[in-house]
Amino acid sequence: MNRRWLKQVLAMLFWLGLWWGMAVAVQRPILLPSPAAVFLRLTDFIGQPDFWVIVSSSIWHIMLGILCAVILGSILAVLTAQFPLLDLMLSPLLTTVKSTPVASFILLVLVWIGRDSVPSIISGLMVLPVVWSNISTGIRNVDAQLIEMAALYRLRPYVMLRRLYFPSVMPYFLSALKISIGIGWKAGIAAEVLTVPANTIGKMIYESKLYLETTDLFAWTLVVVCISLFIEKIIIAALGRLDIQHGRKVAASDD
Amino acid sequence: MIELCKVTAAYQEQSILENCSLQVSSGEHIALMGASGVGKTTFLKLIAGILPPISGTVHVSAERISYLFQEPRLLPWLTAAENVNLVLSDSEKTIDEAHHWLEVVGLAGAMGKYPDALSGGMRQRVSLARALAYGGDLFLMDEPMAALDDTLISQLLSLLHQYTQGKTMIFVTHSLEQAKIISDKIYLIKNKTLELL
Repeated sequence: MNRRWLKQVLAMLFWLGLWWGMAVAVQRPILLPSPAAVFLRLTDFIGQPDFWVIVSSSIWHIMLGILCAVILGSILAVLTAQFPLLDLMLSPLLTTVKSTPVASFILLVLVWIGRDSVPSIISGLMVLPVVWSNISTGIRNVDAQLIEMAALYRLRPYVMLRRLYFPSVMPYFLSALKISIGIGWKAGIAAEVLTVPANTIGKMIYESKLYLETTDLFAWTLVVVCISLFIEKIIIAALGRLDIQHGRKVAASDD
Repeated sequence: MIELCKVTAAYQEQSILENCSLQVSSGEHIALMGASGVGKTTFLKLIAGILPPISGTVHVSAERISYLFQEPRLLPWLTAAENVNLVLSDSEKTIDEAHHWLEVVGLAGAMGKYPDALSGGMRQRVSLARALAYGGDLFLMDEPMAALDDTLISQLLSLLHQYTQGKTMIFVTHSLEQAKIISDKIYLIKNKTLELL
């Protein structure tokens, strides 16, 4: 574990070194600021009271969209697994959503609904097909022999859900969640950049681009990456613990 | 207890049984033999109600069926004890009872172990403990001794004999010796029909 951690740190140092080397070679911060300049700007941001307002606003909007999509996607996956007709109807729609450029949706939602709701709706819309498709696959892959056993021994529906379906689908759900947080943040920030709602990270990125403040652009991008990774780690760790409680950590059982 | 009348059945669109009739009285133990792929498992599935017949009627008057599959079919994320307890109440109230049944099949030391940490024979014994714990009035056993060694087979056959007294059982096996020990009658599936040996 420590060895893996060390390798990851070394890989990160390699890329930071490469970034620094390129910045020194280019010698033009407007094109490529150095890592030191970006980190300094980031510390400046963190010290300002507005920073936390901006960050919380983006977290609220984007995570709200992701949360709604995870709930709706899970419900739809259960329903489509149960009713083949619904699956037939929804599959083309969700596949289309998955492959449509996010910019088209951003502009459409902006025209139809208004800019304040765009980041939530867009992040949710991008996450929904991923959650639905992963959980649907999980439900389809529940071992048919175990289902037959459970039916013959007349397990109660609650027991079947808790003991058979949840543990079987959980790895697919966790994988969906991991992908969704990344996609949701990317789409949400893109929506903020295009619609510039007040007090959001996207608006700050837009303004950095407008005033050619490349160091600010890098610093805000770093903020997005850190928040996305932090939230992903926290949620996966919490749900991973739940997964272990369901006994998925089979390898640890011996001795 | 079990009445099959002119039953024709197929598995994956292939005809397995044709015009088979059979009566099994309550408390009777019968063994079912036949070459691989002749339809012994299909026959058990018909009786369990998993597979509907193409024609004819199947009448089974059992309240509960304890089914022992060819494979153990244990939930890999539950311990041996939890797997047995699953068919009891799946709560702490009955965990002692689950432990009792694991002791009966000689797995007192494996209660907290997960299926991945057990040998094939041990897993099959957990599955047997689950079938016994469920306490069906009809036992359907699909080659339950296939993965076990001779010593264990004789121990488990005597256990089965003890715990299925007064209960109906259909025991599928390739071993004539096991069939003679466990059953009152032996049937052979041959040419898609049942023959009494």
